[in-house]
Amino acid sequence: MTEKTTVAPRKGVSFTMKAWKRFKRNPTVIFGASIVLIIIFTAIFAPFISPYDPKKMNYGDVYMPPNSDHLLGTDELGRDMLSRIIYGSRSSLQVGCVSVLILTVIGITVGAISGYAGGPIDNILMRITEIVMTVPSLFLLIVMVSIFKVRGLPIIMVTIGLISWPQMARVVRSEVLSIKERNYIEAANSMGASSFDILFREILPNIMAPITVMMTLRLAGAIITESSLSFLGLGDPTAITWGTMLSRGHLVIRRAWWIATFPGIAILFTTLGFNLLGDGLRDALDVRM
Amino acid sequence: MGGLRNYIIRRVISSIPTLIGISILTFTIIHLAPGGPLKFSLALRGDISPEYLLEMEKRLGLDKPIWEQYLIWLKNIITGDLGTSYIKEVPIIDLLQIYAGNTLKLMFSAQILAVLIAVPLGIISAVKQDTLIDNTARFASLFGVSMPSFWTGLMLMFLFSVKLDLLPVFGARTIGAVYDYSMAAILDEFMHMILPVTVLGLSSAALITRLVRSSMLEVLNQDYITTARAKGLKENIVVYKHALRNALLPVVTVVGMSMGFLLAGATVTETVFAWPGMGRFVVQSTFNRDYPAIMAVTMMVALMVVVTNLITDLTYGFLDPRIRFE
Repeated sequence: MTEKTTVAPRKGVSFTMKAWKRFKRNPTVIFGASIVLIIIFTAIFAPFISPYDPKKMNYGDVYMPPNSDHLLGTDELGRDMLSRIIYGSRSSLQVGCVSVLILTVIGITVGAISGYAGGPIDNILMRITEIVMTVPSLFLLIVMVSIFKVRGLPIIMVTIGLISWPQMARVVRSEVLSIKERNYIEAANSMGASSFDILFREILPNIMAPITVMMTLRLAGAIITESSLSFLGLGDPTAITWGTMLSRGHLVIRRAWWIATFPGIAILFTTLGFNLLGDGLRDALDVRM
Repeated sequence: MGGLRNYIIRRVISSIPTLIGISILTFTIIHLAPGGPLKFSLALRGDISPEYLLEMEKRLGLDKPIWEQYLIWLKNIITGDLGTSYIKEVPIIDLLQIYAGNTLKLMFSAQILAVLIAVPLGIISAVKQDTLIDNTARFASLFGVSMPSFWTGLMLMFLFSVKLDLLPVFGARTIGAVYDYSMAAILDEFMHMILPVTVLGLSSAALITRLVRSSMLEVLNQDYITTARAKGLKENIVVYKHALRNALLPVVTVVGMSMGFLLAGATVTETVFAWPGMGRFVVQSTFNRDYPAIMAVTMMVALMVVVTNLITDLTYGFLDPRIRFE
């Protein structure tokens, strides 16, 4: 498919094509994308690649340092750390994707309406954005997550999404502001297109690049946020997440250093992958942010 | 300077609705919580009769409707009364003084460390664009941004405090140490600060380095820099006299704006090192449903962010004469 379009560049190369060409030359994107692919692969095929059942306790093997049976050691209940870390990628990706989806929907809606409508609507929406932005999100999250009686990943994902949209809204707003004065928007307007059509058919497709970059970077942020919450004891106690493993490892670090060390490396590896990808995408798509 | 005074007054007035909005948001969230503070934590103390619970509820005003409770809280806070902690049963203002002081100490030291590392690194990275130095610096800063700070803290603590036994493991001071202004006391406090400040400072440095680099690069591509070079000025003069001044402007903003980011980082870092600051206080208060304490800390944090933003904008104006406060 790529072959054909490059052979006949009659109408000029499309945006996606140009971006793809740049990706291939950009080592950061390739590196980041490979890490992300590895994580996705691990998450999907977790049952096939993990050597043990991640929930299976074995009281004979508690606190085993890394050895040939358990490459990354075992935890306080004798569960295999490597298997738990492999399964942990599922929770992290889930948290990242769901919360980024929520924050993107809210961010685009708020930002697009704000930038397009202008005037008092813009003022009110930006005030609300500022309010949510002013309190450090982790503070709000701690308060919000701890008020729920049931601790669970779904609540954490939704809450992260509900709180982290302001930056997305700001980016979208400024992009909409800069694009809405262009000629083709005016043309659409004069042809009688509704505001909704202009916003979602004309403007939105043209600002997908900054939105994509923002989504990638926010995904990394959401993963770190979830692990911070779990670390603070607000995580889902039944789910296998890197943050929860870390918070248990914290307490026994003198006795078993590996329990806190490896989940941390997993988090670092994952967020680094998404950050590299986001950073490279920003260069490749020529986004100024 | 009349313009400046009016500007400050206007900014202060316009921040009032923001602060009220934040207070309503937080108030609503915590009061929607199932299981109020009484059932949640006072009941943990042992045998408390239902009659006593009812009486306490009345005394704390928790039997009133939410909006009425909010108005009472608002009235109190305007008169400077932050309330009394349900749990510690001391005025919150006393607790806040200690905790906010400790957090600010941590944050300012971290930010100074961050600027000291990030500004030179960012400049070198931009000037030597696409060289090995630049690529290393870029990767290192991306690494720093990706690292969960509580984990870094934990690893450093394990290495330096547990394994090598060089630094204290937790707290702001050695327990039981006499706190006078002697050399030993100051040194003790300094030793306790090293690890948390390093952790917080490095994560902030990573962020600032990236910004210094990109803003420096942008300036270096401007026409007046080309002119300066064309005039035959030495590269050092071009970089440090012409470019740096302009490149540092956005950096001032980020250093100021990263207050919120630092505060969030402080929350987890304080938990790792058992540092008696606001972050740890807010975590404990939410666990205990200590409403007045949660409200007080949130408002304090919001106020800090609002004030830093104002100071940032003012500094920006002083550094850049093109900006007028009107």
